[in-house]
Amino acid sequence: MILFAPDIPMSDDEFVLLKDLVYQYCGLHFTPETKYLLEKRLTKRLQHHKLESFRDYYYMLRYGQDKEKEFAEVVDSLTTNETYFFREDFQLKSFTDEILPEISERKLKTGTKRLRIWSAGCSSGEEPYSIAMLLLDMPQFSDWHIDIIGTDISHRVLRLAREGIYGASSFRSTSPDYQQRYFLPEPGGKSKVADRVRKLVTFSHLNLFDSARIALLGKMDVIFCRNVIIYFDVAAKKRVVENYYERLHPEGFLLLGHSESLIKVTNLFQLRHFKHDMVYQRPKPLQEMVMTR
Amino acid sequence: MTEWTELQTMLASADEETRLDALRRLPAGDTDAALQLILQALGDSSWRVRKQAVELYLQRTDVDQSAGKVVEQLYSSDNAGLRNAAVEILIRLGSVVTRRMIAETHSADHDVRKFAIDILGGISDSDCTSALIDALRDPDENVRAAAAENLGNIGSDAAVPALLNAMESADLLSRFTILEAIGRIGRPVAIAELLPYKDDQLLRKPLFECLGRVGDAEAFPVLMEGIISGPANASEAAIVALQQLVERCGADFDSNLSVNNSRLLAQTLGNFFSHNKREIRRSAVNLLGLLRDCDNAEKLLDLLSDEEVQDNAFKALVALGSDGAERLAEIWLQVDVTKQSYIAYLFGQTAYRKGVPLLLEAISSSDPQLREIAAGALGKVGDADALKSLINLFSDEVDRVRDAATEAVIRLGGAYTQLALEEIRTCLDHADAATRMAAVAALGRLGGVDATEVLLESLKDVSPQVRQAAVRAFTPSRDETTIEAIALALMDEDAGVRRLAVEKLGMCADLVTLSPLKLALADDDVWVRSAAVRAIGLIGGAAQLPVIERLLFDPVGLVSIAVLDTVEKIVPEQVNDLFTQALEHPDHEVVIAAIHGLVRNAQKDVLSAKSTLLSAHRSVEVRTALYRALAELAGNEALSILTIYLEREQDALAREQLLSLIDNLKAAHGL
Ligand SMILES: C[S@@+](CC[C@H](N)C(=O)[O-])C[C@H]1O[C@@H](n2cnc3c(N)ncnc32)[C@H](O)[C@@H]1O
Repeated sequence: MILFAPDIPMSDDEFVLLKDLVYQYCGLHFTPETKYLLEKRLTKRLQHHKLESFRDYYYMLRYGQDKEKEFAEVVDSLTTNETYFFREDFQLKSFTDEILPEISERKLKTGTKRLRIWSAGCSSGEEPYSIAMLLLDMPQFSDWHIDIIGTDISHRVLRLAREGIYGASSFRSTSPDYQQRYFLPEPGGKSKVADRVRKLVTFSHLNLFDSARIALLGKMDVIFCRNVIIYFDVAAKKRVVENYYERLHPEGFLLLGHSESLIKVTNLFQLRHFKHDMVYQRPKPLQEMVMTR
Repeated sequence: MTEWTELQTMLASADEETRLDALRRLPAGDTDAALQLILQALGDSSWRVRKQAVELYLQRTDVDQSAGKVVEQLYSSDNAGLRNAAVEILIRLGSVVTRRMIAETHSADHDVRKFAIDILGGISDSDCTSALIDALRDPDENVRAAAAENLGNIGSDAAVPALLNAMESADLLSRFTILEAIGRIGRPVAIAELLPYKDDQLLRKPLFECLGRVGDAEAFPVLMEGIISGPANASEAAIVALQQLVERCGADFDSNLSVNNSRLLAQTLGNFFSHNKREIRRSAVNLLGLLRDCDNAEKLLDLLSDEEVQDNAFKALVALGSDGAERLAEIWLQVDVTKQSYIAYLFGQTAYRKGVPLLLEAISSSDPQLREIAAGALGKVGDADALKSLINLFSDEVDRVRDAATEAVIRLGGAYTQLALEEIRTCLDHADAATRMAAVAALGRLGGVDATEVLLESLKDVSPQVRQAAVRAFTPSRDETTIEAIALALMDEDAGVRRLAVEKLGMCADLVTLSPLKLALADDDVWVRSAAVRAIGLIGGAAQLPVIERLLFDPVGLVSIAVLDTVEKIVPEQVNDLFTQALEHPDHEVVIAAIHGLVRNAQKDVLSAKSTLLSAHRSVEVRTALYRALAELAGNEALSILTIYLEREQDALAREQLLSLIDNLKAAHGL
């Protein structure tokens, strides 16, 4: 949380330096109108290091011994990590009722019982754990090999995700039934995710801008990237979304947040209309040739 | 083919480059044939060609005689590009054409009259004003509006009476424009003349905006009424306007408030707290602060989570003083820790003594933020009793809490020095380094005879953090023992200690520190080396230039940047040479710093000379810095070169940057 006015003003020069640096590092985009946000949120870092100007801080990010660690702090203070279980339930309904059956049918034809799902920008883990619970409730997948991979750029939220202990605000749209079946009570009114849910999920640290490391993830059937790229500008969105395209199997799905779209970003994907939601899909190889021509 | 017909053919080509080439090959000299071709090119379909033609025309020496031909182009009603190019030329010719343009304000063609008005507005010398004032009576509505708009742009005080005068007989569009123009000119007016329009629904918004800029305290009631009675867009304008007025002549604000309208106003303002425009939310919150309506205290507390207006909401809360704090103290137990933190902060800012018991409890909360803020607040309102509890926080696990407690102890220590010193001393032997660190920092700041002694002792502490705190705590002085002790710290095994020692020696501003500092220039740690560069510059000034300059090509850019900064500070007249050299530094960060330095010192020619080299730099950041620098220094002239760079640039971010620079430049120059 941020408290009150920055004591240290950020000059326009410093703003340009820092905003470019942040943009290049993680795609977050600040304009002169949102300069105050950058100023406010980084002030604490300056105070922490007892620095007197944003320029000093900039050079610290460039030349400091612990610059990687410091970047993580920057990202932590700049990103909004809000998330909760079963967020955007209509989309999850599409996922369980329409998308998963379609994938399973396709896979069974080739005899593979393997499902790989990536929750990109998973924050404190509510999203990948929700996906895991949904899958546990679908008996047809009980003998499948399932990987759910949650990644985020912020070390702080990944720590929370691994811990798996949540307070009331994470449960604002969780039915009591789920809470009973998949959580254990913890002191202080909190709840801990059950082991059989945790077993399905792996967490990793990943900057969505780091194309080289993204390639290490392997191919996916579904990618969830909800409420992450809203803070990016078009060029940054393009970069990230094209990486998703690479990671998806043909006919794999990309699920964005409800207010997000790929209009003006890319036409690599097809928009599929399901009963509950519209979802992007990587086309079949043949269609791909037509679309990219 | 003669040369001229060939050029003419080229100019008729479908290929833009060929047409541009034709212009490039145009022989110099003020011939009529050349004029003809230029005029033709002014009407070209491509803006690059038109622009080139404009520049060519402006290079002629016979513009006095040939301007008439350009004026004629204003009559080509079928070619907007041509007309705009002519307008640009005429504006740039300035006073030379004022008389001609004044004559054109009487043209039979109303479009031309409007262009003439715009051109006069662009030229804006003193002769133009009266022609524009006359045009306020033009038979054509658009011309009248243009006249009002340009008077606003010129910003001439003399036009205000005429504008007010014209208001009476004007049609709606012109009234609208006149109000905007008066607002833009910004000269105070007797608002009685404007008030009659307040009941015209369509004019309320521009009227309120105008009042915000030029009104006086007399406008308070009108704007207050405007906020309450709408329509929505007028209320918004009134809110912003009232806030502007208050800033200018706030003293009278209160006298216009009765209990009744104050309530109503406060309520209405509350409705704008969730408006999507930040400016309106802010103004509403600021005004609410002035109303000092404690009923809104909780609402303001809620607003503190809205980052965009949180500062304003906080000021409004502080303005409520202890009455507001009292209200919030009542709900302390019902709110979450975040809000408790806000309230705690407010206790501090409003010096709310009765809040001390809550604060004392809050410093043992499990939430570090609340502990931090409560400690800070206790520093402001606490008394001797709070000292002990605060000192206990010296061993808090969170460094921000320790820092806040240290600050608070220093604050309270001002009033209860003896007691504070005694309590702090007990911490100096504490097993926990963090506690010793806080104690050292507090001692240093409290000062006193024996503080220096304790600090000297702490320079030998086993913990590098404590040693750092000790160096930091010294007040820079020329006292020999102090300088000696700090110079000794230059040999500390911890780079942080060495760096702080270097900085401190710089602040001591004593020449005896020069030789140890010069040794620090060879330190293994880059931060120590850069600090040494800056410190030497601070003490030795220009005389040390040769020593400092030698580090320009230090393998680590940070040091080179320190060199650049320092030289700019101590011998600004030498930056040119050094910054130019730095453009060749292998570390791109240095190159960027050099580019910024050249911009600061308006070294347009140096940058232009190096721009070809830099535009091929492997670092995108360097290239973007170059683009921005060119746009800033060369303005309009940079357009064509930036357009060329755009064709070459591969990186998406840099391209976006270029596109927006080009757009901005074009917009700024009406292209
Ligand atoms: C608002 S949360 C969304 C959480 C979850 N997907 C949901 O919809 O509830 C956004 C997350 O994206 C992460 N993020 C932002 N930029 C990122 C980047 N460049 N690489 C990886 N994660 C990023 C943030 O750290 C944050 O945790």
